[in-house]
Amino acid sequence: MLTALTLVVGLVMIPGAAQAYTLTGCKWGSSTITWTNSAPAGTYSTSAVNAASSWASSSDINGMSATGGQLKVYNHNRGANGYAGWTDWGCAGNLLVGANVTLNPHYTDSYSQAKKQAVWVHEFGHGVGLNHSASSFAMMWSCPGCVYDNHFYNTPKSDDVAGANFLY
Amino acid sequence: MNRMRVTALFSGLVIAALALAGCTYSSGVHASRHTLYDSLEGIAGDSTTVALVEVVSQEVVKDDVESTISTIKVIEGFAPAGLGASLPTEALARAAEQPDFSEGTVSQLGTSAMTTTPAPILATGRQYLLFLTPTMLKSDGPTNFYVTGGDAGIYEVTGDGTFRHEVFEAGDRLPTVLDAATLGRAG
Repeated sequence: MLTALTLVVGLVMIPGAAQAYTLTGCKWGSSTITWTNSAPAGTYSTSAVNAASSWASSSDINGMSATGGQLKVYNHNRGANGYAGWTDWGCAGNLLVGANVTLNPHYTDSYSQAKKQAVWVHEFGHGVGLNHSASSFAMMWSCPGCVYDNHFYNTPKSDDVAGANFLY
Repeated sequence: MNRMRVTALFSGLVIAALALAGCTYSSGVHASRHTLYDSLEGIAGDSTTVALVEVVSQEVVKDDVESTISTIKVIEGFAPAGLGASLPTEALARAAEQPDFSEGTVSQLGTSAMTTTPAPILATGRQYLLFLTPTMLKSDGPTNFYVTGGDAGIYEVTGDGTFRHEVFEAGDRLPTVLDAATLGRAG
């Protein structure tokens, strides 16, 4: 009896634990997403390219090539605002019409290229329609730099991929 | 033409086009934290000021993204253990330029008109307990602040003399209720 009850409880809980991602409510109209790279040359630009490529290689998002588009990537020093990066977006109905992905060099100048990539991966996730995940093993966790520090992750993980594949 | 003008022009054209087409337009900002906090000492360590404040006025400023600047009046200051202990000397020096200020500003990413912002936008006329840190921007002075940890450093004022923050961002583990005795009154 106890074993059966445990099995039932386990089956009910597993799907929730497996899908910790949440969504912004907006997505691009196509799974082929292009972006404009205005990040400074060097570790910022390279890590942004690597982050975009990691989404394309791990999920159903196609391309993610820096060939121009309304998903734009920048650096902007906003000082000690507590945020390593942010993404602002505009949406018509449930379709994105533009998004700006930005890193804050006040903090990220001290990040390694690999850790910068972790933040870009997170912000690109916002840029394609993902909100924060409740999983501390997901790149969409509220602090991607912490995910990198704790696990050395800087590419989309299963929960992130599940969210992206749900959208695209 | 700089990026801000391009963005404003683009946004204006999009909104106008959508209005003509009868679509609803929404906007938002999401952000990723630099640090998460697991103790009162931790968030106090990254703050130069912890105070009960009242928001007296607000304005929306357009830069790379729209922000809300709230002018705050300090009602009471607190001195929790470890205040400023984790901050670099430049931040402490900036705050020391005007230690007994009675009015300042708090900048937040986003506006109350957006569907999503990284932290709740403060409201004019409301009182809050805020953990604050100087912006450290060259254009700003010692009384221009950010909320430490975004959402983490905002507590609502309750009617029973306590300060409450019910739901934290995943990863923050801070007390949901604080009071003056726990925070320690500033000298």
